[in-house]
Amino acid sequence: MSGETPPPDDDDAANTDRSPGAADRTAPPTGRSPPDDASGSPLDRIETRHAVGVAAILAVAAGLLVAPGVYGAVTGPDGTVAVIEIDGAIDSGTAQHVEDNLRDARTNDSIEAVVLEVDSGGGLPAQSERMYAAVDRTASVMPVYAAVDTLGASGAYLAIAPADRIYVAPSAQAVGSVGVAGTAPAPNGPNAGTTGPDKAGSDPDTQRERRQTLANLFIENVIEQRGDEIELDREAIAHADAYLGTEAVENGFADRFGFVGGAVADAASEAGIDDYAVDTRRTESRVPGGIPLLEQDDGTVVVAEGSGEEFGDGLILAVAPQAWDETVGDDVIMTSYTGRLPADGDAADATTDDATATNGGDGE
Amino acid sequence: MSVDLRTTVGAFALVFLAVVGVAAVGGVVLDDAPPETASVADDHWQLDAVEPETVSEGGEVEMESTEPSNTVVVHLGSGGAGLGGGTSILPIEDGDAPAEADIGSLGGVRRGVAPLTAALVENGHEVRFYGGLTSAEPLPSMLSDADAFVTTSPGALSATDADAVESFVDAGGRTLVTSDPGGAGALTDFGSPFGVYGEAGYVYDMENNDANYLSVLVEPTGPGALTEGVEQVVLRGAAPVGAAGDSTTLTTAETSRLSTTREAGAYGVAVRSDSLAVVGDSSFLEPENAGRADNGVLIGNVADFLVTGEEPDVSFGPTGPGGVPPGGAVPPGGATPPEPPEPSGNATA
Repeated sequence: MSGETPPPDDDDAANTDRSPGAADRTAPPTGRSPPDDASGSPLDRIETRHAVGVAAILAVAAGLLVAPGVYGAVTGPDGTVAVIEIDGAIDSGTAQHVEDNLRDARTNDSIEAVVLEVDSGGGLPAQSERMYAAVDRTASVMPVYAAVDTLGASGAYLAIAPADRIYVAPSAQAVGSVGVAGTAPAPNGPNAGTTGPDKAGSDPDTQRERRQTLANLFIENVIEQRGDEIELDREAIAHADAYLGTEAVENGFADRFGFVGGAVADAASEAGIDDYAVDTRRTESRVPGGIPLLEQDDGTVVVAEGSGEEFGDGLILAVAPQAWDETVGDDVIMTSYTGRLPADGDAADATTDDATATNGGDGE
Repeated sequence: MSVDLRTTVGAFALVFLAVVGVAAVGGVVLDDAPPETASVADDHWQLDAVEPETVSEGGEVEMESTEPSNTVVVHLGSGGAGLGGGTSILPIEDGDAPAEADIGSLGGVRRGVAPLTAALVENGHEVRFYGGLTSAEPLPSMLSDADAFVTTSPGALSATDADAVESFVDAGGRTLVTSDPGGAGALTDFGSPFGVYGEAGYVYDMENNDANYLSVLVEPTGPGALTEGVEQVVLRGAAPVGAAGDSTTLTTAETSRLSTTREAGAYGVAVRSDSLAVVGDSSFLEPENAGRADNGVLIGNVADFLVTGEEPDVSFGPTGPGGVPPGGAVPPGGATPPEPPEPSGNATA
């Protein structure tokens, strides 16, 4: 401001601008003082106009420093919708990924809603339960929606059951499959390598009961979360069918048709944020690290045999039949009642009506 | 005017503390803790809430008959009994050496009928196993000396053997046939002369079962020698069987369903036609299942059924079915080649 005044009147103008009254009264002493203090402090020689100029420059610099933040605060999103992927066979890595990111969503103030991007046919029941609990917790403080593409079945369905809303693609091929599967109960023979008769495995009755207990846990979890939405009774749910997307919306296993994009928009709207950012949290790797991979001719990557990460055939799994092969490989064969004849074609043929059967030889 | 260092430092300290103080106070005042999350409901995780209902352990296998020694021929096929009943393929008794650290095996296919054979032998009867075409003695020869016959795999009988059994039944020989799901075609092939047939599919029950939908609970339709003292039997994998006339002896609960139609209803799983008894399940004979519910009582009744009655008068001379000379060293098959062990069992299932 003072720089724009004409140079001849610079001193007077500046003085009168700042403090007209004081300048008039103290003009004579002020005019005389510089020579008196010339031998004193250098600070005293700084002209007011210089000080004002420096202050203005500093103010501009400070303003430039702060301006982006202010601009961002004014024009930036009101909040973030986190998209968290649940993909592939559910194991510890999947559960950690989902649980960590959901915890982050709850503690991070900028995240206002969560969308689960689901394409999984299930896996280990306990890890599915772990995700179930994390989703349930998160859904109690913010909108949590799930969007299923092809597979949202068995363990994956358990994980998303507490979500506030489940979207499915109309052509989703497996939604639901509320049940567990494993090798058929079989007695164990005497084994000198174990220290107790049950060390090699429980008796068949106990195996049967425990399997049913796991199934009941699954069913109860689903009824707890979606009992009001699902229009089937408990027995029908326990049939463990996996539904198409169109069927799932009809019978209440899902809420509406949609995909991740629509779910994100709806979740943001539900959270009350018109202007939102999307933060996508992918699983870092489809296959946990450290497992040797083989690339097949058709381009698919499979886990090499012998890696220690395959689910053992002693485990009971929450896996939909559609995902059985990729989850457990050849170790456990799900033989349907009208299935193919086994290779040895003996009297075992089609009498294998249980949901599963071992591939033999492990019952000694 | 000189710079007052103390004042300057003091001013710095004052401003610094003010800034930090404002930040601290502001943080305390403005910062809101992470939102309270509702705890995950876990009432429905308690064992009481999810433990399946099971049947109680039942009675022992006991025979009541005081018949003199009878001979019972037992045929098991090659694949073992009760696959559908939940017992998987077991190591073959006479097979290879046991694997790994075992000190024994479960006993192979003959293990599947051990409770029945043990009861028979305990009561003074003779049990002879027929192992199929590779046996040293052909089935007609064995049957000519036998009082009763048991097969858990009618489909594994050759055509000649099946004819021999048919003649045996016609002559009054007590015969028990168990047929698991998947064996409907073979059972019908074998049983049609006596008005007995098998239905495709299996019966399951999602409500009343022994910890698994396949482990259906069956009850007698009325009083009868086979079901005396039986209130409830567990079958691990039941195939529906039927007979001309109403001779069903065991049916499933009304809540059970047939796999092929999903229709709920009571399905017959055991029939009796004179000297022929047919059960659509072989698992109830297995050691693990003999103690469940009243399975043991049923096994005892079956044992009584097998040894009761007149000795069948049947001979398999040159005029017998298939023209098999008794005691022939060569298994039948020259003129009438035996059919495969599994005639159409799967295709019709």
